[in-house]
Amino acid sequence: MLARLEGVGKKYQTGDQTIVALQATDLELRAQELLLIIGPSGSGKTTLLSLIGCVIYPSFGELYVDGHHVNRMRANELAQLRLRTVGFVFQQFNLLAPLTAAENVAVPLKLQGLPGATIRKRVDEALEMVGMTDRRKNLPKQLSGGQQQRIAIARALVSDPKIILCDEPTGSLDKDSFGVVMTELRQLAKDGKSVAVVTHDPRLAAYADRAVEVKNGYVNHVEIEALKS
Amino acid sequence: MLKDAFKFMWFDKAKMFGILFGMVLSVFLVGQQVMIALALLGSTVSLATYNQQYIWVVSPKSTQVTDLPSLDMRIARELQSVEGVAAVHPLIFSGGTLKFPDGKKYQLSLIGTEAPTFAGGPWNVRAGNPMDMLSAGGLFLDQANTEYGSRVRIGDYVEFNGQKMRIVGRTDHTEGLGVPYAFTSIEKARSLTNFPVTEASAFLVEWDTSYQIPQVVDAINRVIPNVRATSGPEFRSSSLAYYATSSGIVASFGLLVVFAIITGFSIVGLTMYSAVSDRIKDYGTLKAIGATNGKIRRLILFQSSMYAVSGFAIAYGLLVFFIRATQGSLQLELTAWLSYTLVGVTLMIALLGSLFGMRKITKLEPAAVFR
Repeated sequence: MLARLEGVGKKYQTGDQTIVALQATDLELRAQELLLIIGPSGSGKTTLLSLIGCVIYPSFGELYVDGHHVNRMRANELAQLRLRTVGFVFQQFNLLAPLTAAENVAVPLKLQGLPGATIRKRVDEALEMVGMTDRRKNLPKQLSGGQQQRIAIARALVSDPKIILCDEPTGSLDKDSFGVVMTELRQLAKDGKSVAVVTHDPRLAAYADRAVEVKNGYVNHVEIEALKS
Repeated sequence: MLKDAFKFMWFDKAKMFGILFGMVLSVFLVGQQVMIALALLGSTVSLATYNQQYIWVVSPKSTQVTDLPSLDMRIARELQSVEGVAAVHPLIFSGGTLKFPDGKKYQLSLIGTEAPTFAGGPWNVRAGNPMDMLSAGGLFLDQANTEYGSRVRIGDYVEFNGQKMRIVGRTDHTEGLGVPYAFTSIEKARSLTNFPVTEASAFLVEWDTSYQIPQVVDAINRVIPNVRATSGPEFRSSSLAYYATSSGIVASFGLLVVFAIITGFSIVGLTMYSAVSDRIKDYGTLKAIGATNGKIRRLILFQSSMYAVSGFAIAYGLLVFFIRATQGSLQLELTAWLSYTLVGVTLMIALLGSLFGMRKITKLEPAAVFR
């Protein structure tokens, strides 16, 4: 079990109004599994992803990630946990514009303070894994959307995290890139990672092992076969 | 991290040059204004600065080194009798008009000193022997004076207060606040300025080295009425303090320095803030990936340090160029303490300027990257 949510929810205070973005949720993330989180815009799926990714604290309930009780951790400890345990893939890729592809991939390793030789070796491996070795010196603006997303996946993988969280990873991609990226994510799950993908695109069901639907802040399990059909 | 910080800077060249411009402008202006203020203040007390090896005995009414109401010459004999006094040298400080053969006239302060020691001047002698001042009409003039310095040639004749004088020596940067100094023998100075033989402007006292200076100073002040004796360094300091408080030099230049710092701080701070705002998505991504606030602050600090180092280097180079360009007119000096102060000012501008950006990033929630 890589992540466990026990009655976890999130609410925000806006003036006098309390908005519940995510109702009390029980959910588990397992290794070797690609979990699909589907639902319409504003339903709370990104909030769920942010909670699993230790980017925000739960307002209520107990959250455990890689054996750590997130509720009790301080912000800096949470950052360390994200750095070592979670890899993020964003819809807009979020590559750092001033850095080359290889430098972008190296960022998590530099943040961990690893030695230069180790960083170079692991960056080479990660770029090779996503087939982008020949683009290592390109800036993000010199890459296509699909290529940028593969660099983003290499960055998410390079520190060998147990959990990979993807926020609409195919939202900005064309049909060809869509297939390449999803095949890579599927392979990562097979290799032992726990991959969670937020999307409103039902085509992704073909790559998933399990799915949950988020609606108005409520999380419900859905049959994957039903989604495929 | 340093390389990444540089890449963040280099990526937005317009902002990088904007920040550097603010830094250089501010540091250069601070250095330039402080140097000019110090040069002006230094010139006001140059007579005291170059004669700090004596105890100065002046009228109690004297406010500073160029304000020297006359003293009775008999005081010289009284001073000789004070315990610890080794020698007494009278000095004449007066004014007059220097006239070149082409008819051009200049206002000067004339300093008359006594042979053979010539205590009180000339100093910074570049050519000639002070003993030649004893020859008929021997005069030392400042070769660095912007108006007539180039015409100061030994052997040439000029007029001082209508009397024919011969240039026998050249000095370098011997001037008060806007008024150049000329030197001659004390006898000739009396004759040129109608200064009574029974009076002197000040007495420069040498002391017996077996005595401490404060002892001799106290003895003079105790024994001789209506004079004020002070050590050379003390007289210089009190003269400097007088000019600093009464002339407005410190106030006006100080205000310019403050404005220069505020201007630099504003340009650097706002441009850095804007640079951080432009890259807020990148910083948010770093936070989401797992960078702590401390690590991102370090990234910003690396950038501001690089701005500080390069900004200081450029500003320092410009200051050295400015000193060379104004060598003839101003005696500017980039002293060690001023250099250290400028390093401090640069670091302060860089660090304070980066605070706005750091504050914005510290407040940034990593979850913002998903919105």
